Amino acid sequence: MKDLTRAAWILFQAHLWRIFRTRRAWIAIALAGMPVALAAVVRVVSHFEGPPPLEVLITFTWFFLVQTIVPLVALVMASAVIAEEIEDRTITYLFTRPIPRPAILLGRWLAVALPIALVLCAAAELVVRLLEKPGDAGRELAWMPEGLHGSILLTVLMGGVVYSALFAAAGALFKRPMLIGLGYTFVYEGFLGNLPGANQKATVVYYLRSYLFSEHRSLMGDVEEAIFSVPLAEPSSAVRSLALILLGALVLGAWRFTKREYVLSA
Amino acid sequence: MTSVIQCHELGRYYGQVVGLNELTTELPGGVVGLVGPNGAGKSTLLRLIVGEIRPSRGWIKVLGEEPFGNRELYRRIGFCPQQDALYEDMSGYEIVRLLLRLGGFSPQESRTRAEQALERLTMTARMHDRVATYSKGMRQRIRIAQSIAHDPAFLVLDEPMSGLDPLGRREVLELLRALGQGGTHVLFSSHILYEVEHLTAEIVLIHRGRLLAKGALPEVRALLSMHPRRVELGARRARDLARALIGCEEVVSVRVGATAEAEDRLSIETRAVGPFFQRLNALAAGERFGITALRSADASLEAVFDYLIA
Repeated sequence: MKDLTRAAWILFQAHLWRIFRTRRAWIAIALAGMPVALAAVVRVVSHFEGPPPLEVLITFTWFFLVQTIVPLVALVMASAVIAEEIEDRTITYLFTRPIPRPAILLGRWLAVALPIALVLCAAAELVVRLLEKPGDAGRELAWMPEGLHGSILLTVLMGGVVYSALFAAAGALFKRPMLIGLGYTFVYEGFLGNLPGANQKATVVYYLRSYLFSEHRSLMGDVEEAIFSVPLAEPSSAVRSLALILLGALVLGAWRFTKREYVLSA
Repeated sequence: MTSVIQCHELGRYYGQVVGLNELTTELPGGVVGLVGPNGAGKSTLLRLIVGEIRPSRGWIKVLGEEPFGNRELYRRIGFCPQQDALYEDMSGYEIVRLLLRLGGFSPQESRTRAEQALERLTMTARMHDRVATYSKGMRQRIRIAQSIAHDPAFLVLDEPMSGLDPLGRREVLELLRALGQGGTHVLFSSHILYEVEHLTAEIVLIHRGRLLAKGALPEVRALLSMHPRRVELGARRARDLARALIGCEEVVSVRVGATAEAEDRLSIETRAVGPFFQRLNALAAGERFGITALRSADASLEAVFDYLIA
């Protein structure tokens, strides 16, 4: 375990600063900037005065940010964790060092998970702040239900971290993690997570929704209530489930990464 | 000398493609050249040795241990891969230092060792520049530096001279020679026999995934010299030259181009290339045959190996 944490820490440090030199990082930042830009437009053109209607806030933070941008940002950055080493054929150097192979996955995943979390939380914070009309300055988000601001940030944070672990593991499991990830995001999470029924519990989005809405149920409109007919999990239970998904993804990815051969052509 | 590598019926297949086929041998310590034409299976064997891939059948032991995922073994071996792959946005120094850190060295020792290794490869002046700005030869030096920086007991290098200029080749040859003299076991692959000859007399020949010959270079050379080599000539008086060559004892056969377009072409088989060229020089000096082209058609190792396996 000591070797694992030591090697993971070294790889985390070495790759963290490299992340922002990659094209993927700038694509991820551009993606995260989309709801921010849209919020800025709403701020300029909207006719509401004072605090924004909560429906607008939920549309931005839940539907746009958590359901769409969070998995996409995680996908763009985390699917490259292992795939990049394989495609660039630098994995040979790491495989011939006296380190546990899971340390490579862990260290490199941590080096993307932190920037993902920061970028997404910054985007969420900017969206919320931008939706306040100028006249609200100084009210410090008092218009928001108590605890909602923190819940939004934590939901975005957890979503980014959990999805990034899933996509990092996909890089160890599959040859084309980006394609697999896109399919997972839009077909599995997007479809299954919004299809009425217990199937929702097999998705990350269900637990994120549970965390965000279980204490702010009034924010869910009638339509959403009908669609999301499955009872929401308690926030603590949702966090535990998300932690389990994260851990399961990393363990599965690490196990496959340890066993699998990566045949590189010269 | 004790065996550094032992393998028994070692095979590695990539789907339908045979990378290595039933290799049973022991490789001695010291400096050993692994020779074979492109696609012979050299890289496959080296990847099996460093545990990057598993055998499809049979087994391999390196320094007495199975290599795949063997962390303890990785402390004792250094590997310079053939592929021109490095972290482009890092400097050579950062790469070597990072890999040393992963090898278990402290930050201070990693710095010292990285500097020393890069100095041995004459990369000190450029070691803090980004790899993306390096020439092919400099990139190769970085790959070699990372393989020697931790003073491995066994150094494995896949085509270490590729991309190097003549001076660089000489420097690397000297480095490998010095490492060998210092007690490091060195196994390096090359498809250029000339390079191998300059470093060691101990060679292993593989071709199409099979072991062809192993041992001291003079023994292998003797084996090769038993087989004829083909030389192709272009001459305005090709038939006259053919007549002059037919009686020479070094010449096995002479064939004049079969078609009208190729009637100025000669294909000659010889068992002794050196004496043959001396004879040709003498003939050309004595009479004007109008020689326009000369090519040792199968001087490549691949052709020589084809003779051996025929």
